[in-house]
Amino acid sequence: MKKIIITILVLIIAFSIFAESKDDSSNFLKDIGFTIGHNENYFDNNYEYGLNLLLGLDAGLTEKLELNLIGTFEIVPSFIKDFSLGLELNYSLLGERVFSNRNAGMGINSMVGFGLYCNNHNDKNIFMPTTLVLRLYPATVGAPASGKRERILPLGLAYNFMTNDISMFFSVAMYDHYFKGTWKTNYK
Amino acid sequence: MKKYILILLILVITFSLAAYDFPYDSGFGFEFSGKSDSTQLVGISTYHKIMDCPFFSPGVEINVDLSASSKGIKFGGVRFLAMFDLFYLENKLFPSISINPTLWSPSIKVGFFWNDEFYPNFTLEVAAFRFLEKDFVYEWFSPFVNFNEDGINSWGLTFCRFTYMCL
Repeated sequence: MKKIIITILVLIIAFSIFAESKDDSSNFLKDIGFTIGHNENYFDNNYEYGLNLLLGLDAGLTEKLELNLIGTFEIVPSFIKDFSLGLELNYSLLGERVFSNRNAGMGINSMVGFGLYCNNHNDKNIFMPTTLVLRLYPATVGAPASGKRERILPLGLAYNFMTNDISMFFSVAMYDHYFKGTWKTNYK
Repeated sequence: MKKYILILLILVITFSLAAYDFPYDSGFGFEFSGKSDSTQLVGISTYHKIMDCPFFSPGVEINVDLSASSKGIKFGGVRFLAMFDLFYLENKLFPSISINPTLWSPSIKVGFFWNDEFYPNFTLEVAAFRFLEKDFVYEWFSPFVNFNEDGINSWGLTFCRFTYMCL
């Protein structure tokens, strides 16, 4: 009986997340883009101080949800070293990031994200899921419809459950460039 | 000697005639970079363009850095740079950098760097991805080296430098 209730609950939550409002056109993968940015980890013994580059893919799921595939690696002091790869689910806090209809989403927004990262920061030194992250994007400027978006000063907490360490991370900026779902491709 | 003076005069007149008219000559900005001695630098900078020329437009820049490392946060050094904007081209390569049209203007910067112990070094920076807007100068991924008579003692990469042109 418990299993059935849990299954129904999971289904309701999943359906709610992917629910569409009013319009019958879907927002699932309506917008897809790539991300380039900067990422630094603080108070984390696994990372050297320097400069880390962040690259990613950004896919819209619903009006308020998006999925990011993010990879980071060190470029200074060692060039291309210490890879991390993760998935983040972001939820927009100040309104819709896209709309079902032909209107553009909110131009200024905030987001909160939750994700799981793989890297080799564990005792066995193998590439595996190690880190849960909670990231806050205080301000995003732009929208998929305009073709680009800047996420300004994102910061967050990382919990490495393999080594039981908590650290902070911070970016100056992350730039999203959309190749699907822009005014050029979808709104003409 | 007369020849050189004549050539210089012609160059000055030609450059003046072909000069671009930018609305502002000076500005201030901030930068974020990483250095090979495992430090992160956050800096503020001022920039002044001395002359508008189509090629090798000269300017000066002063950077003051704070450095963060495993030893904590401390003064990171000062750099005095002479810089030359190599050319100005309409930026068709990265049009999405700004809503406004931008000019691609790579720049070479040479000068002096005093580190946190005020030990003097020479410094060289190449800002290949440098873009000019009416009010802003954007620079990304600019590598730099600091060296003295003993050779290169550190290198790094400026991830971004945003300069607000206002004067």
